[in-house]
Order: sequence, then C-alpha cells, then structure tokens
Amino acid sequence: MRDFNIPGECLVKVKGTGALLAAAGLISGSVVDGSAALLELGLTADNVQVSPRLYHADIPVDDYGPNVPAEVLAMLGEAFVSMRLIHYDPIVLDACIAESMGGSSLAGVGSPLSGTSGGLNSFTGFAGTLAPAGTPLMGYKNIFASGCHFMSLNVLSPVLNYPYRFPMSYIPGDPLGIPFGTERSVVDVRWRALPYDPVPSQGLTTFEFRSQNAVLWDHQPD
Amino acid sequence: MARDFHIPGECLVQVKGRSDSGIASLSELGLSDNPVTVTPVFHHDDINVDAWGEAPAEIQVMLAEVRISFTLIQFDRSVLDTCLRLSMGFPSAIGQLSRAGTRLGGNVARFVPGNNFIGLNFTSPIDNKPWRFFFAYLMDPPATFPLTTRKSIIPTQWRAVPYTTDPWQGGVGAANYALWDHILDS
Repeated sequence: MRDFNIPGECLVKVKGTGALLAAAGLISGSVVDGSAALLELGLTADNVQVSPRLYHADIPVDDYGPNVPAEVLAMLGEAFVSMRLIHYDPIVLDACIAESMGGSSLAGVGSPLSGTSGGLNSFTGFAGTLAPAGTPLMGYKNIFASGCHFMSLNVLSPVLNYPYRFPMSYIPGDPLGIPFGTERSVVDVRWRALPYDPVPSQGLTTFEFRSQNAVLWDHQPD
Repeated sequence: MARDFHIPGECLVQVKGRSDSGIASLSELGLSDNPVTVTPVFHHDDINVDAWGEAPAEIQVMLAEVRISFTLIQFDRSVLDTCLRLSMGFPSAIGQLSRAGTRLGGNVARFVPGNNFIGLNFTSPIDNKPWRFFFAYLMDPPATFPLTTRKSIIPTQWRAVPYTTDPWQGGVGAANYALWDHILDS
C-alpha cells in the first residue's frame, strides 16, 4: 500500500570478528573462532544512502541488430552504503577500518579493559597497520570465522521497521574522510557490500564460490 | 478547565548549574522590568509530492527549541556572571574564553561538571504555573550592559535546547523528551 516511507532514527551497527572483538573488549590476544561482536557504530548527520549496483550482460543476436540485446543475463550485483557519521564510537570505527585493511595485528594491544597506552580504550590500539599485499578479506571462511575480515553491516529502521543488513561488507577507503578540527567530526564513510553465500551451503562440505542464493542484503538485522 | 484571565504574577528568575559552579544550588538571578517572553520554536519539514502541487501533503515534526528573553533590573551580578561563564564554556574567570569547540553539554548529565547548560526557572506565584527549562544558555547577543549613572537594565536572550547524551535513546529517539515542564528545580 502506498504511503510515505519514514525509516526513522537509523542506528548503524556492525558485527564481526578480529578487531571488532578486540574493540568490544572480548579478547586481548588470539581470536576465538566463530565468535563475533555486534557493536554500535553510530548515528549519522543525515540520511544513510543505500545504492545497489546491479550488473547485466547482454546477449546480442544478429537478427536483433547491433544495438538491442535479445536477452539479458543477470550478473550479480553489489551495493554501496554511504553515511556521514556524527555520533559514533571512534574505536569501533577504527576496528572497521582495521578489518577493511586486512585485519590489524593485535600485537602490542594492551588489556581490553585497561585505559593504559596501547590498551583498547586508547586510539593506539588500531594504528593503521597494513596487512601484507594480497591478503584476502574472506580467506575461504564464513563470516565471523577467525580470519574473515568482512563485516555484517546493519542499518536499523525503528519507525518503518524495515532494517537493512549487508552480511558481507567492508570499507573500500574511497571515499573515507575523517576531519580533524575544533568542530565535531563528521566522518564520510562508504561501505561496499558483496554477495554472501555461507559455507557449507548446498550440502557442500568445503568452500566453493557459488552465486545461487547468495545474499547481497536482507532485512533481518544481526 | 474554565476560561479565565491568566496572571502569572511576580516572576523571579532562578538558575541552577553544574555542581562545581557558583550556582550549584538553585540561585536567584533576578527580577525583570517587563514580561518574560517564552517563545517555542517548532521545526517542521514539509513533504511535497508532485501530484499535490506546491502545498505539502504531509508535515514531519523535527523537534523544537525555545527562545526566552527578559530584561533584568534587580539582579545578582555574580549569578549573572556565572551564567555568562557557563554559556561561554565555563572558563576560569568571567571575561575569559574557553577553547574553540568546547561543548556545552559535554556528554554528561545535568549539573555534572562538564555540563555547562543552565537550568532556567521562572516562578509564577499567582497563576501557580512555573516554568523550568532544563538545558538553557545565553545566546548571542547574551546581554547588553549599559554603563551609566542610572540603574542598569540588562536585556538577556536565552535558548533552551533538547540536549541529550544519546540521540538514539534505545531506538525511540526524542519520543517523550521533556523540553520544559512546570516543576521548579530544587
């Protein structure tokens, strides 16, 4: 039924392992496989923009001439979620950036419950360390498994009750703007969401890239 | 309630601020020489639909704030100075500045050190309907100081806003947030 659609106060939450577990204070060293932390990333200065990008491939047929395809193939898609964070947890944001960089080394991070230098209450916990070139973000693992650096991105919708969940997301870094100054920081972040097919699926026991039933987004938040 | 004339009465302005300030307890700011004016400022957004032409088909409420003005004639100068300091981010002394970007709320609760908002109270002894604004500050121009041989009459401009440490409020946002009420601070 037609009506105005007002999603409401959109809180952005993220779920993941690795640096997000550390940001939640759940670990100080090794990651417990299979566990993940659901954390509040923050509220935005204006609307969250969800932009699906769908890909197609034309099948030309000579009988149809050079310009119009006789058939079109659906070739999956991805989504971009843009937001301007204004009331946010900077440690969670740091953890998301660290995971998007291939996972930050937690060596040298102090006790997650301490406020000492290097501890997770300080910004030195996630210092922008790069992972080696070629580090896979998924690593043939399910979301929330140790070593998988994708995150599940949730955008809540308390008025319309139509939340979004992008189960396999990361921050590609363009654009990512973190202003420094005397005014409150409004951080421009654009997430990239890719199709997710959990392992095992379709009765498989080993990982295999299969696009059937892959989920780009759903409406069941973590 | 039946119709009647409404006469608030002698309106004493009282203020209360953070617990480490000179107005940590409810303090008398003063009396005004003319009415205190309370002006709610509502924020609304139109929703326009092409099929509905130029008029909005619906309106969204986008919260509100309040502007209060009064002119002090019999007042406590030290209390006014403290209000000015709080509105400037609570520097060490009157006339000084705080660092650029200092927050008035400071992400802490009312009256906690770090929260520079002022509880602004107006008595109403005849109508028995006092006003309390929880988070107020002196807005620009905060006050005008006549230096003269005559008595000083100081016009002041205040703004009361719906300050919160958490705009999410567990998913209900600003629902049932009290911008003002009619119970004086104690």
